[in-house]
Parts: sequence; C-alpha cells; structure tokens
Amino acid sequence: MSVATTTVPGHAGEHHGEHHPAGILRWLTTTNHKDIGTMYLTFALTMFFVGGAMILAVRAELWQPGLQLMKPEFFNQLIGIHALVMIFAALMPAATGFANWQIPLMIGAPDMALPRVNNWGFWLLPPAAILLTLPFTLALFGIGDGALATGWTFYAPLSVQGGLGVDFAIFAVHILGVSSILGSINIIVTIFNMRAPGMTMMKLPLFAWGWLITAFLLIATIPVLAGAVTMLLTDRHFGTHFFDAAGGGDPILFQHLFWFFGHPEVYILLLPVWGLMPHVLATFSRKPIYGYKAQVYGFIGIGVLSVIVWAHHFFTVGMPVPALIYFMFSTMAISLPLAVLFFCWIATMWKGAMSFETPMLFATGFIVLFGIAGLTGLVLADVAADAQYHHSYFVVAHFHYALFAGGIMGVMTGVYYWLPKWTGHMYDEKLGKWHFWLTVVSFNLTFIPQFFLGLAGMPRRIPDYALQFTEFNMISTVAAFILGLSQLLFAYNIWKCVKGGPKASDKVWEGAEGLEWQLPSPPPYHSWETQPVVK
Amino acid sequence: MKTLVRLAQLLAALSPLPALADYKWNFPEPVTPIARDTLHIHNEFMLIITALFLVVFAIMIYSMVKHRKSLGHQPAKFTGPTGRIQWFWAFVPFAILLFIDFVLMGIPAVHAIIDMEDTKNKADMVLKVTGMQWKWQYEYPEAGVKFISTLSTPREQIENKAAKGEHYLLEVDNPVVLPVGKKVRVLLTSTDVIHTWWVPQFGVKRDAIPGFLRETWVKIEKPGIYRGQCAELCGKDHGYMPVEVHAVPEPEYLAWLDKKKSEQAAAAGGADRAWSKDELLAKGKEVYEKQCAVCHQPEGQGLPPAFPALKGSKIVNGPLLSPAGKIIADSHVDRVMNGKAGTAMQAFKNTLSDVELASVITFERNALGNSKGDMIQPAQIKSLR
Amino acid sequence: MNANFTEAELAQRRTASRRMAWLIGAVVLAIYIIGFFFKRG
Repeated sequence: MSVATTTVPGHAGEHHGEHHPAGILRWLTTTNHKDIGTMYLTFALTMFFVGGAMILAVRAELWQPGLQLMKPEFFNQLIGIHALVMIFAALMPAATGFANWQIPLMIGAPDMALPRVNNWGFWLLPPAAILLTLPFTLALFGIGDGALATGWTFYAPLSVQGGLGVDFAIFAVHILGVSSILGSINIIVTIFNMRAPGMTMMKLPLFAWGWLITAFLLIATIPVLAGAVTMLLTDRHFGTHFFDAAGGGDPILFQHLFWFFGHPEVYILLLPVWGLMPHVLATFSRKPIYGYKAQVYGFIGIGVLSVIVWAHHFFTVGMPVPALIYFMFSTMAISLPLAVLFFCWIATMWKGAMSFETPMLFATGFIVLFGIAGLTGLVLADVAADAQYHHSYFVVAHFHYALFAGGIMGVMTGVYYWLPKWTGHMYDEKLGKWHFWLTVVSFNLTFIPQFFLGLAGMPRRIPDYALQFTEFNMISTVAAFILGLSQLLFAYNIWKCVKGGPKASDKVWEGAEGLEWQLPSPPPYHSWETQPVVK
Repeated sequence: MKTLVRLAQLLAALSPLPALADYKWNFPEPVTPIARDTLHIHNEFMLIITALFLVVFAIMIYSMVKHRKSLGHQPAKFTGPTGRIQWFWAFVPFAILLFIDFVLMGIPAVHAIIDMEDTKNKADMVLKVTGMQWKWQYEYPEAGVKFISTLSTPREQIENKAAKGEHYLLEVDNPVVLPVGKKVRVLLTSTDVIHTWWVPQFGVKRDAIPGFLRETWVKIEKPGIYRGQCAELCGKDHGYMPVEVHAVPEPEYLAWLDKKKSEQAAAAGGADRAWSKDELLAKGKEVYEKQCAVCHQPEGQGLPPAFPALKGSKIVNGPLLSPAGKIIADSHVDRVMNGKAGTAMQAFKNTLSDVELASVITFERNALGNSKGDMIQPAQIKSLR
Repeated sequence: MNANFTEAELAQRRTASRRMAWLIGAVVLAIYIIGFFFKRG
C-alpha cells in the first residue's frame, strides 16, 4: 500500500519529515500519519492471516473425534495464541491504522499531535508479535515446550505452572500494552488539541468519538492487565504468592484483574467500528446521521458501564449471591445504550435512498450479525442459565459473533469504504461482493453449529470430543476453511486496488459527507496544509 | 437480494438435514430441579431474543427493500425525532427493553440464582470433589470413603487405532454413585490448577479452585448414568477428565457404599504386612499406568521439559531414604509423596494409599529402564506420613 | 474558508499536546503501581 504517499510540490518542504529517505529507512523513521496508518493496516492484515492459519489447524484437528494431527499440548498453544494474535495483533492495530489515517483527515489536522510517539507506537508491534510466536520455533529446536498453552486468559495457577512460552507471552503483552497506550495518548491529545477552527466536540465525527472513548478505556485498563501479568511473572520466578493460596494469595484475584481489563477490551475493539458505522450508513443512504448526540452519549454510557461488569466472565467461580445479582443486572444494563446505537443505525437507513456497494453490504451484515452477538450476550448475563452456557461452545460462538461479525467485518467495512480515498483507485466491486457473500455465509455456517454444540454440552478448548458432537463439528470445520480461504479474495482485492484501477473522485461516494472527502484522492502527504473551517 | 434468495435455496438443498434429524438442538434432558429451571429459563429467553431479533430486523429489511435509490426513493432529511409523538415512539423500544431486561428476564433469574446458591438448607449428604490434573477424586466424608476416578477410554481409541466405543471420552474407571431423591451438597476444591465440574443434565457448573472450597448442590430425580466433563482449561489432558455419575435408589447406594468401605479397609490392611518385591512390582505397574503414565509416558521417557523422563532419572536413581530411615529432601520418595510446587507434579500422599505409594516407587526404581534393585514397604510409607 | 493555524498557534497546540501526554502517562503509571497493593477481601 505504498501508493498513498503523493507529496504536494511546494508544500513538502515546510514541515517536519520533509525529505523522507527512500526504501526501508523511510518506513522505519517515518512520522507521517498516513505512512504509519498504512504500516498498522499492513501489519494487521498479515497477522490476521497468521492467526487464521492457526485456527484452521485447530478446526482441522476438530474435524472428527480422536487425535489426528497434533498433540493436546500443541492444540492448547494454538487456541491461546490465535486469540492473542487476533485481538492484539490484528483487530487492535487495524483500528489504530484507521485512526492514524482518518482522524487527522476528519478533524482537519495537518498530522497527529505527537508524530514521533506515533512511530514508536507502531514499531513496538512487530517485536511483540515475534515474542508471542517465537516459542513455537524455539520448540522445534528443542528449547522450551512451545508457546503459551493456557488460552489467552493466562489463568493462574495454570500459567504459573507453564513453560517459557508464558514468559514470552507476558513480555509480548507488556510491549503491546505500551504500544496501545502510546497510540491512545496520541489520539486523545490530537482530538483535544488539533481540531480545525469551529469544530466543537459536538461536531466531532462519530468515528473520532468512538476512538476517543476507546483510548480512554485503554488508558484505564491496560495498566491493570500489565500489573496482573507482572504479578504472574513474579509469582513464576521470584516466589511471590499473589495467586497461590498456599502462600496467602488467591487464584481468583487474577481473574478479577484480568477481566477488569478483558471486558472493556471487547468495547475497545468495537467502539471504533461503532463510530465508523453511522458514516457508512449515512453515505449509502444519502441521508444525514440520525441521533448524533444519542450515539455520543451511548458511547460514553457503554464506556462507563464496561468497567463495572467484569465478573460476568467467571460466574462459575462461586461468588456471593448479591455479587451475582449485581453483575447480572449491570451487564444487562449495557443492552440499553447498545440498543440506542442499533436504533440510530436503523433510523439512519430509514427513508434514505440506499444503494448496496460493498461497504454498505458489510455494514448491514455487521448490524444483523452483531445483533445476534448482543442478544446472546443478554442471555449469557443471566447467572442461572450461564451455568450451562459458560465454558461451552455457546460462548465461543457468541464472542465470535461479537468479534468477527462485529469487529473484523466492521474493519472490512472501513477498508472498502476508505480504500478509494487512500489509494486514489476504486477497488473491484464484483470481487468485493463475492468476498462479502462468501464471508457471511461461511461465517454463519461455522458458528451457528457451535451454538448447538454448546447447548448439547461440548466444553470449549478440548482437542478431542465425544461422538455425539461429530456432525456439527464437521460442518463447522468445512465452513471455517471456506471462511479462511475467502479472505484471500480480500487481500487480493486490496492489492489490486493499491496497484491501480479506475480513478476515484475526491468525494468517492455520492452521499459522502465530511472533511476527509474534500481532500483529493489520494490525499497529499501532509493533509490540511490549510486548515478548513467548520461551520 | 436476489443473490441472497438464490444462496438460501442452494443451502437448503445441500444441508444434511436428515443426518441431523435426531441430533440434539437444545440442552440434554434435565434431571435435577435446577436443570429443569435452567432449561425453562433458557427456552423462554431464546423465544424473547428471537422475537426481538425478528421484529428489529424485519423493520430494517423492510427499509432496505423499500428505501432504495434504484427504486427512485428520495432520501429524507431528518436527524432525530421531531415533535412529541416522535419522541414518544423513540422511547417505546427502550421501555420495552428495560421491561424485558429487568422484569421479564431479571425476576426469574434472581429466583433461580437464590435457588442455585442454596446449598446448605436441608442437605442430606455431602460429596467432596477434588480436581487434579487430570482426574477427579470423590470423597464421602460421613462414610469415610474416598477414591479416584479417571478416564477409562483406551489410548488406542484416542489414537484412532481401535474403533471408538459408544461413550468415547465420557467413561471412567470408578464412577461416582449418588442416591436418587436426596439433596447432595457438593464441595469442590483442587490440588493444582482450576478445574470445573460439569454435568450438563444436572444444570450446575462450578469451579474447583486450589486452596479454596466452593459448593453447589444436586438432587437427582431419576436413576440413570449421567456424564460430563471438566470445563476449565487445566493443561494438556483437559479434554480427558470426564465425570460419570451413577444415580441409583438409596438401598442400592448404601450397598455400594458398604462395598467401597470394605474394599478400602482391605487395601489399608495390606499396609501392615510385608510385601514381596514381585507383588510390589505387579501392583506398582498397575498404579503407574493409571496415575503416572499420562505425563511420564508408558515407557518412562517423559515429555521434556514439562514432564521429565523417569528412565535414567537422577532423582529416581538416587538414594531411597536417609540412613535414619527419614525422607531426604528432593529425593524420589519426597517427590512422589510431596510433589513439586509450581509444577504439575502433585503430592500423591493425599490421593494414594500406602500400598499404592510403596508399590509405584518400587516399580519406578526397578522398571522403565531403571534397576536400582531396592524396594520400599507400605509400612515404611505409613510411618513417613 | 482558509483560517490557517499560524505556525505559532500550531506550536502552542503541540506543546499543549505534549504536556497532556505526560499527564496521561503519569496516570497510567499510577494505575499500574496502585494495582500491586490490591488485596481481595
């Protein structure tokens, strides 16, 4: 994606980062928000395929009962690293890539406020990804026993018992955390200080609002995760007993700390997407966004609620009845601000003049499938029924509706929506539609059977299963491979669009509104040399 | 839209519906009051959310079909509700949702929680469940009966070298037996990592946490065999630690309990007599295969680095006891009896009898490629405890 | 339309951003450190 770097002659010399070096050095030293955004997105796409390959190996093992391809130890490593890679190295960097590219364009700023911090934020990621996956390779040479095998949740005391893969994962999480914090700080200060004259907070594009809340959630929760894994590290190597009952500690403390981060993390992944949706829906409905203020308050409401509901991730540990009831009702309360968002999305479409280009297809697909995630989340909040759903495939299906249909399909919406702006070329519409339909159908065929598996009693994270679960697992595996292979169309379409294609106009979409569409496609190397005024 | 319809037709034609006709689409048959309650709540909630889903997306799909540019629909300009009536209708969905959340779903849920956590009232008996990597120990404190329950599916079936049996992965050597119609208070703990005890037909799932006691209860209403699995990732053989409960009428239960008691007494009695080396080796092989081979492997080669080899191991081939007949720190006997903190090696003195400990130690020192030649008697173990 | 940020104003905004960034960084560090003193009751 190196096309999007046109410089405007005569302007390039006036600001920082002027005569950028060529080749690899340019990318290593760049402080340009577009270059960094491009690197984030490329990294995210690469890791999306790495994480996907891991889970396809898992699905292949689950094709039928018995152990065919791998040992249970290796299976456990794959599921945990799949989750960490997808969350921290695919979805989060993709969202940060969007923020880097779009926020300065959308708020009329020349660049991010802290360009050098921005560079660091990105270049911490590749080493972290290497740390996370290196133990797989080391094990091939007989060093250690492979990667983190506890699932992505690191639960003590299993993680205290684990091999060097746990230490690698702890350091990887620390580095990823620092990267997220740097990115968040930059986004917050950019939004607060660099808005164009006349753009008040209540005129801020919703995408920027969604990211602002995400950034605050990251600031509040990443240090807690970092603290929890540091305590784990000292438990492992320096004889502290934070999580060891024999030394006066408590294994459940770890779960509280982890999910104090882990639940907001879900909204960290989703808020940027929720911010993006109204823009796309308004564009393709050729109608203004419905309920702007309601959506802003909805974001804030969800942000606040997200940090007070964490214990619903472990109802089965045995909590006092009042705690169970509190966490159940506070979790159910999230459905209200979320319903505000759904209401506004549908009301934005209502009585518009809709057309269904690929971004709109993904956006509507997102609304329906994310609806399933929300509704199943509502029943999961019920403690009594949760006893049956918890730790089963029902939960696996639920959070893939939230994070694949909600998160990843949301990111795909954004990519198709903004790619013409970034590259100056239109993507291949026909290929995009094929990608959408293949993704939606195979996604549902992969995960609907998992709802039924969970209800029938199949626990998650098992490499082998009882005979009664065979048919549904087979369907799920076949569909997962179709889902995985369809994503190659996505990568190919992006590649094709970067290389060339029909010229995109400045506005790109007939119904597009907002500052970013006033710039040429692709935008100049330094966006908004001249500040626009927002009325 | 046309593409969508065509795809749906294609899928309907291809889907293997006949093969799935007798498949389970919902919870298995409930056999405890809690499970019945849970199934009822679940069914009700599923209807509610399905209704919500259909109503909301019917509106959306109506809009997607009608308000299209290709049909020449002109876009409206509104950005929010205008006028009292619109504001009223904008709030209606939220009032309905509030009602569904906190009344329709909330009230039955609160009742169910209170019922579920009521473990102590009118409990007829106690069953203590201890999770350990990768088996369950069951204890009947009132009767003084205690035993370990491990997977009985043969290795060949897992490795696809033999046809899989009907209860593949859901069968154990020593099932836990419970009387029908009695309220059983289940206490849970663990010796190593967190496990979760789950039998879907009982509707309860509770974590077994090392160093803490958690509880739940079951009152089985129907005799039968009920199967479940560990539900919390607990290491490499997490998928291989099933739960098998036999629910029987009370007289049958009492008879079983008596039989277990006398078996246990016989085993304990063996501790006081002197055992021959061959007896110890035979018994030790049996114990090794059940307790140790999962990690240290059938031939003792281990799975380094997490599970060290016993074959040629320095610890196994070290001295047995100190000259005074005491345990040497970090020796073979110490390791087997007291385990090693922070690893999967547990303290087997808590779960194995004197005879089992003596025989397995003797076996490890004289088999698996080791030939120390020495032996330890059950009576010695007894005095070392 | 073209009410440019002057170089001076841009510089001032960058300084404000830097100051704010340090402040948030300090908050992050504080949350991290306070975490170690948590005990479950």
